[in-house]
Amino acid sequence: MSQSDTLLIVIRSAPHDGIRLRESLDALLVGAAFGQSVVALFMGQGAFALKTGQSPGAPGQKSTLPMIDMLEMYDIETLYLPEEDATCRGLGADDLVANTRLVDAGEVQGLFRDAGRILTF
Amino acid sequence: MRYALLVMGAPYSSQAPHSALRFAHALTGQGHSLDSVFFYRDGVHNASFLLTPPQDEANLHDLWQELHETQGTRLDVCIAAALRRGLLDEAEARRHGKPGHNVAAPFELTGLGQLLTVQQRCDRLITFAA
Amino acid sequence: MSHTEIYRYLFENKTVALDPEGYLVNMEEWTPAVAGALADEEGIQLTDAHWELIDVLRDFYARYEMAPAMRAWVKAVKQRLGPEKGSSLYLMSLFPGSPAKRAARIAGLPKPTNCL
Repeated sequence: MSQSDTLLIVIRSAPHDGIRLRESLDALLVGAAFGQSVVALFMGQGAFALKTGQSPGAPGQKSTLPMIDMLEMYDIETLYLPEEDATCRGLGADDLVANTRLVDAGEVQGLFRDAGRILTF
Repeated sequence: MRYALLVMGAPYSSQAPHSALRFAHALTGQGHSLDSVFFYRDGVHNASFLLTPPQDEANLHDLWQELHETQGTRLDVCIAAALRRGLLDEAEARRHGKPGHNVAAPFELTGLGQLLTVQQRCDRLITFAA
Repeated sequence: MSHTEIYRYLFENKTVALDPEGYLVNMEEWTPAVAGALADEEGIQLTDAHWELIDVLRDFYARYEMAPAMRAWVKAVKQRLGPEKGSSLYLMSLFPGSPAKRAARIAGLPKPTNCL
């Protein structure tokens, strides 16, 4: 077991893609509700989860943006996103929720290095 | 080493549970222990004892059960993911006023928190996504 | 919602259907009077102190579309009503047992998924 007890949760699902994103965010909430130190890293298509101004969810599904907004109520206040994953999807800081922190490749490596445990969704 | 598996794909429609089972047999065959398998997302469908594949195809529910019997592996199923997909044990069926159930021991409906506990307890958690 | 979930009714005139655990089958049927009747069943007499916590719960749900687990409810109460009330002990004193679950039922929110 690693010395760090930080749990890194990597989310790669986009909104409007069935229930994948919601069930990934549930893992974040459970980690936080259990009082663990949780780090949220969005990657790849997961970048779209942080886009502001999304209208309601995919047909028949609940939307995910309210859940993203709710994370800070569970003291998950920083949502990491590799800058490259944002820019290659045409997303700039202005398009993303305020708690997003764009990070470079080195910082992403750091998040993985410093994590005691990792869950990837 | 002490292993746990996270299975997120449905039987037959996804390769994930089939690969996970192969992996489970490979690692126990090499003397490692398999503490738990946690079923999440569409993986919860593995827990249905009503799976009825043709006789010449593997019955995944039964293979997981066999793994539990031979290796003592826990079979944990996320309760929230299970309920919304219609996988209920007897207690949950009663609790929600439903006329039947399709999950029974050794599969156990449990919270997602169990996944975090399992991960803390084990040396390795291997994910089989859909 | 499926009719198979109706187990009994809250009121004697057969209105407000409940599931086997006493949660509303149709969330739209919630009214303050329904909250009072649900609380009665739990042996809780709703006071202003209860109501301000219920309001926080309902506002939380309206904003985030999810009922809060304890940690988030405590934080929301702290933000709205100040640090003295924003503690699990305070919530526990008004909704004994499992406060988040109990209060969610009275507030007419969906049954918690048991994941948290």
